[in-house]
This record gives sequence, structure tokens and C-alpha cells, in this order.
Amino acid sequence: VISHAARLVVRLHGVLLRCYPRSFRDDFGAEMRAVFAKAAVEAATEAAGRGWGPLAGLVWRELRDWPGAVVQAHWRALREGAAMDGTMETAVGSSGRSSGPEDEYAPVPWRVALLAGLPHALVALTGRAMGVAGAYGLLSWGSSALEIVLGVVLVVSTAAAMAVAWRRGWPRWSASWFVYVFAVVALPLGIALARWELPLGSWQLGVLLPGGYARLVVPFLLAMMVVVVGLRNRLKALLMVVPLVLLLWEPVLEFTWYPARTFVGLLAWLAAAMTAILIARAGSVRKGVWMVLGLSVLVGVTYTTARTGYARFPADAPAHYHLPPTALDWWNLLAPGVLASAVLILEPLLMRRLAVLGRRGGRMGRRGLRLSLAGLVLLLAADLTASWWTPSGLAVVRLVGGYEAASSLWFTLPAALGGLLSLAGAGILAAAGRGGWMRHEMARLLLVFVLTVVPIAVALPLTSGFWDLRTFPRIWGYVVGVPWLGAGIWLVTRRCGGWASRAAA
Amino acid sequence: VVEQVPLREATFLIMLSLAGEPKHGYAIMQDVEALSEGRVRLSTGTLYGALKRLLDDGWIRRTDDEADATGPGRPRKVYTLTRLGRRVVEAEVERLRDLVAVARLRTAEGEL
Repeated sequence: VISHAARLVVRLHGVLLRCYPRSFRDDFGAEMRAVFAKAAVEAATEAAGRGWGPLAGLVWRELRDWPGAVVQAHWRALREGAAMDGTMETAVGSSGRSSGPEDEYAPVPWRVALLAGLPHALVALTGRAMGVAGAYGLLSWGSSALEIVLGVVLVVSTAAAMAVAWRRGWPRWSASWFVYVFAVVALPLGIALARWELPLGSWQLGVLLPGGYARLVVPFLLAMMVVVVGLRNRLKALLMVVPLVLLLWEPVLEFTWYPARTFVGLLAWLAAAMTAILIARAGSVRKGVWMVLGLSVLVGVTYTTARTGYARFPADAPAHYHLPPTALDWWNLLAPGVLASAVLILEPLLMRRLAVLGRRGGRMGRRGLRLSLAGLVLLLAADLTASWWTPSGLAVVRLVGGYEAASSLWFTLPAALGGLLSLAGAGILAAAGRGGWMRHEMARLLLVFVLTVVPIAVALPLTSGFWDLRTFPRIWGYVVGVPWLGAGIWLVTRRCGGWASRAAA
Repeated sequence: VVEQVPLREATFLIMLSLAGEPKHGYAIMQDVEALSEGRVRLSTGTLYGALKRLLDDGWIRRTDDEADATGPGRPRKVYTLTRLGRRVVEAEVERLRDLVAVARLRTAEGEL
């Protein structure tokens, strides 16, 4: 019986070992298994004379120390991953790294790349395709039934995908599922908060809690995820932002004729699936940047065309909403969205460059880097919040005095503050730099420039709001936004790749 | 090196265990238990988490066990204290010695 028990605890130990990071298991897994097996045999031998005490003690020690050891191992793996140079696909990455230029990974087979497009295809085929069928009377299900089907499909497939990804050491395609994992975890709490009615006087916590959760906590956590993934692996960051780009565009479809809305939504999610497959297959950050930017422009053009061509405003909307749309309306919907999504696509990739420089700048450089990273998270969170802002949001904001001005401030101020923090961090980092190599300094200056104009590029177009299209001049947004976009693309694609990494070296 | 001390007890005992001769994981585990008179009993998670930190810091080195190299399968790994690691252990021993000296002095003063 005791030898059976010993075998059982060795198996249990094997299961516990799976919770350590892949890199740690690769290094120490076999040794840990052998050491524990030896200890278990010895404890079982002792147990034959002294009862179950030694074996129970061994199991108790392992179980007691296991959570702390696993957390510490993951924390170290995360730090090591963030500290690794951009030439590597890290421990959470896949195998098959190439020895080519920075961020060029070995292509993966099509059947593996398909897994990267699967979650977006599922959204297209469950939610959107059924929505189209419903809009044309081919399906009699209501929207709530569609949401339930979509929810069940996503939860089950996400759980299955993550189980496979975990066993295979978080390969490249798993990054496409990160946002869905987050949604599966975050949505139940959001729904619970929305249904939790708290009659707590004028503070209206029943409104504040779900509003704050959806518009502050969720965007903040998403922004953190994008930045952390971007620091570790730029290809994965690109795969991760694909669904976020589509979500950024989603509000443009508000007040659009329902069948047109569901149809273009279906096309967009299918395009997202195709983009993710191509990025995973190609394994090139340079190509991936162009693909995601292309997807954003494609979705933006489709959505804005649907919105301007098939607008359906409520009868009580301001009179100018009902005027026939002009080419300027179309452009004013498209351009801010392109800029906002470009921030999400490019900034985490740019941060990787800054991180390389920051680690070479000593303690001061690392402080500057941390400040810059914090600013970037704030900026991205504000960017995501801005896209999802609706006037029915936080009660306290509505009390400030008119929701339009207050709601604009709500995301403009954090965006500007985040940009300034990033700028300050980059400045500290530049000041901490050692060595006077001209090109090295120029790389820093360019990064500082990019981070300087970001808050303006993002905040100005978005401040003018999506819903009041004719009253605000947006030219200044474009004057700074377009050069920023050009500089950002230049920095993260090939020309900068070799140049900046030489400079950083 | 002085900045690296004080060490955690488990870390100190692991390094002390390696001060005499190179050891593999199981031997370290047993030696730590013996050194602490049964008070500190390491789990595999704690032991290998500490070994990884010590390897990363360059205080120990990991090599194949030459005695085990001729057998079937992969050779066992043995851990050896590096020169830097030895200096850290010596600094910790020095710190503890000073502490004990002060403690003896104070307790002796109390008895007078």
C-alpha cells in the first residue's frame, strides 16, 4: 500500500511541476522529479517501520511550498523575458527561433498558424454570421440567444486552446487568444457588478462600480497586458492587438443600419482571422506591423463607409445628425480611428527599443524606463477607454457639468498625462545614457520625439469626439498625428530594426 | 560581497552544504536537514528555486556529475560553489561570528 502511495505522490508531484514556467521545467524539471522520487522512496521505506508520518511530511512540505515557489519562478521568468534582447523568442514564446535579423522568427506550418486565426473566426462565425442570418430573417434567435451561443463557444474553445498552449509552452499562436482569455475572466465580474444594485445615496455605487470597472479597470489591465507582452515578444504583441484594433473601431458602427452593421462586422472579423494567420505564419514583426495597420485601415474604411452610407440616428438626435453625410464626415470618422489604433499597434513595439536603451543606462536609465512604461500604460488605457466611452457611463462624470466636456476630459487627461510621463521617462533615460556615439543619441532623440507627439496625436482627434462630427477643427490632430504615424512605422519596421539595434548595441 | 549579506537561512545552508564538496540536489537536501539538525527540511520547489537564483547570481556552478557520466541516461547535475559564492559565504560567516561575539558579550554583562 505504501509503495502504491509513494508512486501516487510522485505522480502528483509531476502534475504540480507542470505549473512552473516552461523554461524552469526545461532546466530543472527532470532533476526535481528524480530528487522527489528518491525522497518518496526513502520516506516510503521509513513509513514501513514508522507509519505514514514521513511520507505525509514529504507531501505536506511540497504542497506548502509549492504556491510560493511557482509564483517566484513565474516572476523570475517574466523578468528574464522582459530583460531579454529583442532577437529572441522567449520562454513563453514558441520554439523555432531563427538566427535572422531582429524579430524575424522561423515561419510555422499553416496548420499551426490557423490556430492564431481561430478565435477571430469563431467570433465571425458565431456572433456575426448568426447576426447576419438573423437580420435577414434566416434565423429566428434573439440577440440574447446569440450572445449565449457566442459566450459558450468562446469559453469552451478558449479553455481548450489555453490548455493546449500551456502544455506546449505558450507557442506563438496562443497570443491571439490572450484577449479572449482576459474576456472570459473579466466578463463575469463585469456582469455581476452591473446587476449588483447598491442604493447608496448620491454616490450611486451601483452605476459607478460597473462603469469604473468597464472603463477604467478593464482598459488598464488590457494596456498592461499589451505592454508586458510587447516587452517580451513583439510578434506576440502584434497578434494580441488584432482583436483590440477591431474593438477600437466598433463604436463607429453605432447608429448604423443593423443588417449593414452585422455584415461589415462579419467581414472585419474574418479579415482579422486572416491577418492573424498570416502574421503567425510569416513570423516577421516588420511584415506584421504592415498587416495589422492594413487591417485597421481596411476595417476603418469599411466601417466608416457603412456608417456614413447606412446611418440610422434616433429621431431626437440633433438636427445636423440627420443631414446627408459628406466626404469630410467620412474622413473625420476614419482618420482618428487610424491614429488611435496605430498608437495601440506601434507604441508597445517602440517600448521594446526604449527598454533596450534603458537597461544600458544604469539605475537612472531603469528609472526612466519604468516611468516611461507607466506613462505608456496610462496612455493606452485612456485610448481604449476613449473608444468605449458612452454618455451613460460614470454618474459622477455626468454630475460635473455636461457629459460631453467631462467625458472628453475623462480620457484626454489620462492620455496627455500618460504621454507626458512617457516623455519624462524617455528624457531621464536619455540623460542617463553613456557614450557619445552619434547614431545612438539620434535613436534616443527619435524615441523622445515619438513619445512627445503621441499625447497630442491621440488626444486631439479623440477629444473632438466621435459623436459630434461637424463642430471641431481636427487639422491639428493630423498635423502632428500623421508625422508621428510615419515616424512610428519607420522606427518599428525594417529600416529602424537594423539601425536602432546597431545603435542600441 | 558585503552588500549581499545577510542571507536567508535556506540560502545560507544550501551554500554551506556546497562549501565542502560539489553535491547533487538530493544530497544538498539531506545535508541541509543535517546541518540544521532537522529544523530546515527543503521541498524540491524551495531547493531548486534557490539553486536557480544562486546560478543566476553566479554564486554556484552546475556541471555534469563525472562519476555518473558512464551510466545510462543523462548524467546527474552537481552544484559547486564558485569563488564569488565562497566569498559570500565567508562574509555571512563573519557577520554571524560578530553577532555571536556581541551576543556573548551582552549576555556575559547581564550575568555580572
